[in-house]
Amino acid sequence: MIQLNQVSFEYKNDEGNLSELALDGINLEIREGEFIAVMGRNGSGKSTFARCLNALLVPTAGEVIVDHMLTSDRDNLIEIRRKVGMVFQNPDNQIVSTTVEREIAFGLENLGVSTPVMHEVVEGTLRRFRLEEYRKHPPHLLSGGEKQRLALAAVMAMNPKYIVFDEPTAMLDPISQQELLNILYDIKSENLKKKTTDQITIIFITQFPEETLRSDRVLILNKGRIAFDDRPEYVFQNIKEIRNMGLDVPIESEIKKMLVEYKGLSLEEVDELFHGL
Amino acid sequence: MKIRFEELSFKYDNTPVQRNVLESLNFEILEHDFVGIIGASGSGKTTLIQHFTGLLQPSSGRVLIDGQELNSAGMDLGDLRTRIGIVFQFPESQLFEETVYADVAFGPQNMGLSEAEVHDRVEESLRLVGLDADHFSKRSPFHLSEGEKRRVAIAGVIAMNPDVLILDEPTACLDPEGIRIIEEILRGLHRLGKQIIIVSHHMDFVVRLCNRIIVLQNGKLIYDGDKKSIFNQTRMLNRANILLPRVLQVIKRLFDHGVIENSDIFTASELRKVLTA
Repeated sequence: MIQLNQVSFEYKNDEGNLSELALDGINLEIREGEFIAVMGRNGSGKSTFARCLNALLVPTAGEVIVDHMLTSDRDNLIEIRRKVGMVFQNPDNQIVSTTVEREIAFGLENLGVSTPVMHEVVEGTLRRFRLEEYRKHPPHLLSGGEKQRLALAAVMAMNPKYIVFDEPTAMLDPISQQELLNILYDIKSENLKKKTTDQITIIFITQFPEETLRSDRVLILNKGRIAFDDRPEYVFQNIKEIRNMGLDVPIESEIKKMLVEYKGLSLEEVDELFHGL
Repeated sequence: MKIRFEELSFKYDNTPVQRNVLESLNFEILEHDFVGIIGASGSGKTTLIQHFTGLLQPSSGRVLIDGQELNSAGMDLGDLRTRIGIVFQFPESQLFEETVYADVAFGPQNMGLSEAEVHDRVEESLRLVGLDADHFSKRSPFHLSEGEKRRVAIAGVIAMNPDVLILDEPTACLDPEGIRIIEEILRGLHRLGKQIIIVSHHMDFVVRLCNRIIVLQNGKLIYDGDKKSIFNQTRMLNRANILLPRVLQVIKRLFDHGVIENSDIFTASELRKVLTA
């Protein structure tokens, strides 16, 4: 479990003294195996929030606790980073190796995993992320979608318990976006077959409301605070409030509501109509 | 300005990829055009843009600007690049001056305009992108929000007063509010008589704005026409690896089930009108 207790974060501005509050007293529990989608307009504190979860940033007030470990305690750093993987918006900023297979092996080497085990994990990961044919390719020759898949593959190879995605689909074309999203939601469905302790918890930051519809919980950040925290179907009822925060709701949420209000359809009929979309 | 591409093909030298990145393109951009160029990643969109101002030389075929060949001796490329302004992807990464004013002034200063003219151009350009000159001129571009940075970068191109404005993925990584603002800016510029060309895989955005759509697939032009007919060509879009925008999937679903009778609506606001009528 990741717990945030009264977490605030203040950035220093140009002059070095005045500051702005990027996170403002956040209280939150992220439970094992949850798939949490996080939305918020640019500057709402999303990325700061993400970086607080694996101790890339330590809150200026309050505390973040990852499986009983305080992120402010430097001694916990290695263990926290191993448990909480991160996938960023731009894969170019996180890929470091000269070939695809080395990139996947990189984290394992650092963890001191034995060669036979490493070999096995690398092979399994290449297969799972459909990167086998590129194993010897330099990562910069991959397409954007493939690079993002590689970034995720390298994180998954380390067997993290939590993965934080900071707008991983923002730079992808719609097809690659869809592919990555399917991989994410596959992790969620695989969780159902696992013991709670083996499940992977996903914290998925995105700007696209329709990407959050299959999540367990949608969190909307506004001005450093949590404005909504509920199941997607409930959160997206608040169309006006969400628009006022500079965000959007999935088009189907809005249209479903209209079909009920203006066309006299029942909720069941509406769900049936949109089934499989 | 009329820009005509005739049998234009292009391939990069000295790369392992020896296929044509652009292949036998024929089309003409006309006065008052508001064109969206769409295509999957790797379809040649960005390569195409660079042929509008001679940043790349065609391997065969030619570009005609108002009847004059782009690579002819009499063509003043410096002048052409002020008349056709290109806003590249993530243009904010090219901001470099200490103040917003200096950054926007850079282009017109290089054109040799007087300080008074430069001043007018900067104020006017900032106004056109919705930034108050008094408030923003003296600020550092690096401390603005992502959306504001992008608008400053666009203002820098508009300040050269081009007849044609070409934008590569202008909405990438912006939040819905940021996207809406860019949309308004482009509408305003089009009303002022600028020809606008948007290159994007954000299809909702293109459909809302443009009156003409060009589809590229593997460097070939496979569609050039109005948006009304494009969406009936699902097979063509599939072939080009283009996903129908979410809103159009919803509209299609409602139409197929007889909930709405109109098949010629393309945007969420049009759909809202139809449902609440």
